Amino acid sequence: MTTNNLNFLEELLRQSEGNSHYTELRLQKTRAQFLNLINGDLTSNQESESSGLSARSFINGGWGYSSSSLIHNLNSSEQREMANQLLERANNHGHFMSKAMQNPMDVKLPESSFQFIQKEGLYKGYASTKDQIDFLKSLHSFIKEKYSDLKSIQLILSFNELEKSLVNTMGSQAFHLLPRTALYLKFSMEKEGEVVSLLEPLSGNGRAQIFIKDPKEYEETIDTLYKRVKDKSEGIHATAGVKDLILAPAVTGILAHEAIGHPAEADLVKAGSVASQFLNKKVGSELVTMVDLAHTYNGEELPVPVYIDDEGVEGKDVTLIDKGVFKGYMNNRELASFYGHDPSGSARAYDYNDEPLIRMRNTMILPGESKLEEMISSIEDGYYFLQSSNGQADLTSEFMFGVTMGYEIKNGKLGRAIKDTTISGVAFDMLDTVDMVSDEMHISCSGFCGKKQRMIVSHGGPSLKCRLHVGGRS
Amino acid sequence: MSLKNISEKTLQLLLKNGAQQAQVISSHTLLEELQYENNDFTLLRSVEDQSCDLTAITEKKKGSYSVSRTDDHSLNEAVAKTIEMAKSAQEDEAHAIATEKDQVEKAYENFESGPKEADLDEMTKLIQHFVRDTHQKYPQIGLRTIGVKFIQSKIHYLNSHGIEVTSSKGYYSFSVMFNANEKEKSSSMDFDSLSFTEFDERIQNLLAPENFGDKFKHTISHLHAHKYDKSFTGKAIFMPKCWYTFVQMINGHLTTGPLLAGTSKLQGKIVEKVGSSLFHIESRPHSPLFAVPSIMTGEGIFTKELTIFDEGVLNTYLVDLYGRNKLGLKEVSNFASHLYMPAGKTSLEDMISDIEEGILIGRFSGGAPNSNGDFSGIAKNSFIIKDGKIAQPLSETMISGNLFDLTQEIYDTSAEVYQNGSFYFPYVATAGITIS
Repeated sequence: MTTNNLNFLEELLRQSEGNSHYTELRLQKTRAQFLNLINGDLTSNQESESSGLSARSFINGGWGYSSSSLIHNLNSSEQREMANQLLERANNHGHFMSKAMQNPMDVKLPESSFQFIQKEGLYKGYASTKDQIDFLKSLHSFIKEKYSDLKSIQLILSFNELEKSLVNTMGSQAFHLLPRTALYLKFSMEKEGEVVSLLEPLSGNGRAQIFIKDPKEYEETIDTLYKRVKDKSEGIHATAGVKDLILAPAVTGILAHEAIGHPAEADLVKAGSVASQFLNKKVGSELVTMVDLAHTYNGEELPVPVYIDDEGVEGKDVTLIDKGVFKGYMNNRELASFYGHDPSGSARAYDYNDEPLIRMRNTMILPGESKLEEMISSIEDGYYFLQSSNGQADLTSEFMFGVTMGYEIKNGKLGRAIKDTTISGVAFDMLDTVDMVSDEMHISCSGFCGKKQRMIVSHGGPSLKCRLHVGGRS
Repeated sequence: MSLKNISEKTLQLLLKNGAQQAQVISSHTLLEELQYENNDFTLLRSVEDQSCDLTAITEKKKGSYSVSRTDDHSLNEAVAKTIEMAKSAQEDEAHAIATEKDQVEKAYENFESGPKEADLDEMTKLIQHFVRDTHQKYPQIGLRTIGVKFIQSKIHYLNSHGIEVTSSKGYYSFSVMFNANEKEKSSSMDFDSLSFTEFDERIQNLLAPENFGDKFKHTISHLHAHKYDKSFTGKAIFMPKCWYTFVQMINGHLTTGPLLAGTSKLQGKIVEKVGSSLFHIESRPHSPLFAVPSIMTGEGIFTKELTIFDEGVLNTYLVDLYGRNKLGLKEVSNFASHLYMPAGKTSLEDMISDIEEGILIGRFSGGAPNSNGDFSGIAKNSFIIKDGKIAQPLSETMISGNLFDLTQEIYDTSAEVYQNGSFYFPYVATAGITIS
């Protein structure tokens, strides 16, 4: 099937009579499944599959894009006709754009080609709906039996998979699957009329069966989540102000992605992000090295392996910050040309009808040498933040994250839990305050990045000791 | 195959293969998008999508599957998949497919609104004129992204209880993301959007510099934003767009999920006064105030005008069929779009002049509030109000409070309203916001 798809696309591309500088054809299937069990009731049992063909052309600096899902409803000669129409429309749209442009450019995209054909059968087949629902029900029963004082138990199993075949006029060819599954456990507890909740996301590269296990195998996760939600129900409000903090890997990861990663995407750099002023300048402590890795770290495949992007460029690692010095941007072909850099293979589209955008892949701050215990004992009065909810940042790198779980640190020891709070700051200022980096490493791919389209990404890192503004009630 | 044929054929197959109740939604969408980025046009995108959404209930078990392939073979596979999903689920009396008895509003059989095809020349001109006017009047403004989209969506809904609707809707949307620049200084990004159906005078006026300009002036003033050194708890005026996001967070407590989990702060508070008498929120899915009418939910329930908060009194939850049945409620009521809050009588200027020390909040960048409604985050595109005047554009300033306390404390709403084709809100003055 893979070879057939690629042969079909290659033939179409060869036969097209367009006069674009660059054209790509992408055939894509996107699958999603969502199961939601609230207090034992299955409230969502949904699955979807969308697929279609897209053509994209680049002409004098303008892009034309055309896609259709109807291609799969046709016989083979009709498919060719429709594919040619898509190519022609993309070409015409590119011309329309170059005419509408105030400053049409004679931009030449960097010439490079890469072939990546993923081994078929790399991932096991799809877990049946029955097995998944039975697993969630047994996990719910296990939790309910062990912790009957929980007000609510919500379990979500969410699966997404992108299957892409791609060819372009530079000779690149690609076929690959990117499956991601996440299991979310959310516990709520009521104390004196107040409900507190806490979510634990587990995630990994693969299909749902990576999580279908005996519930006992989740006992440690369940016990920890229960203890934390109970601690939180008895917790206190954080005191507002600038504090010494330890950010656990889950919080470090979202910081890396939102506050530093986004401003370092070349399209946002061109839009005037603060990173545009920082190339080869010191932006933080020498303890901070941050990367956006394409597929592998320390010889192991990462949760979002991108060997080739949707412009047919080989996925390459990007060092964003090296020992405190800002070193580079993530880019696509067009902006690699604009900045005179090598393309990094960061152009990715979520669905067949989405155009590729510059997206992060596996973004992380690299571990240091400190032990977490030493870091905690070095703080007289501060907080240890373990889990965050949503985060936002803007082009100035000013950021904000919700913190859903944390403990106070008093005289070098963990104290009472705190209720939900918020941390904020300017990322490139905050990096200067990092004076300890732990030797641990945790990576998660549980969320989606939203930048016009959604995208599967991973982020993570070690624990960081730093100073930030904490929101609070006093 | 027409959408009607797809729906009919698929519904028959679902019933033949074991579904006791079923619904099918066949849809066809055309999208044309023109994009402008960092000072020039960049992309023209055309998308044609077709899909078929299947839902089956068998032995009180429910499954839903959506597929974009609608050839015979693919639909047969989709039917088998949907039935397998339903059979794998657990029995629940609350699962249902809409019947005539579930309807709370008059039925439509055919519904059409808006343009049927994109006017690419007008889309291009809209961007060109907006860019030209902005550059002339506000040279410090950087237009980072402008998008104009045309969307035409055709739907055929059919279920096993005889409910059948065909709808066709067309509309345009305009969105812009911008910041201000001066030498090496950059302000935060701000954005705005609106939906419309015609390139008429109203749209030209809304986007004209004399109307859109206030947003740009706010953004330019934020080139010189700084942190407010003092902490206090006091009055706040929410700009309409920001207040809308807070109302959406409040409405989240009225939906099926939190009500079933028992984590909703508004559970059991129907007909109770939960806000000040100025906290009045309606859903007006058919109102001409909005660009695209909503006639039906995805479950085949026809929408109706709904008062969610009636002068501070909680009037209804926002539950779907499952939530209604599970919670033993009377009506399906998940009509939380097209939100309307009435204008007041006080001008914004007078509202500001009434405040000794407070904050005008343009945007909230914050974590999702916890189950109790406590929130904290950064006030973006916001200003300190001092001695009745806007005194200082803010950066790095944290605000916190409680959603439900805010609604109780509303003491004024402005005569000025913001309407962008999707919601209609005034400025809202309230108290109890902590600035730190």
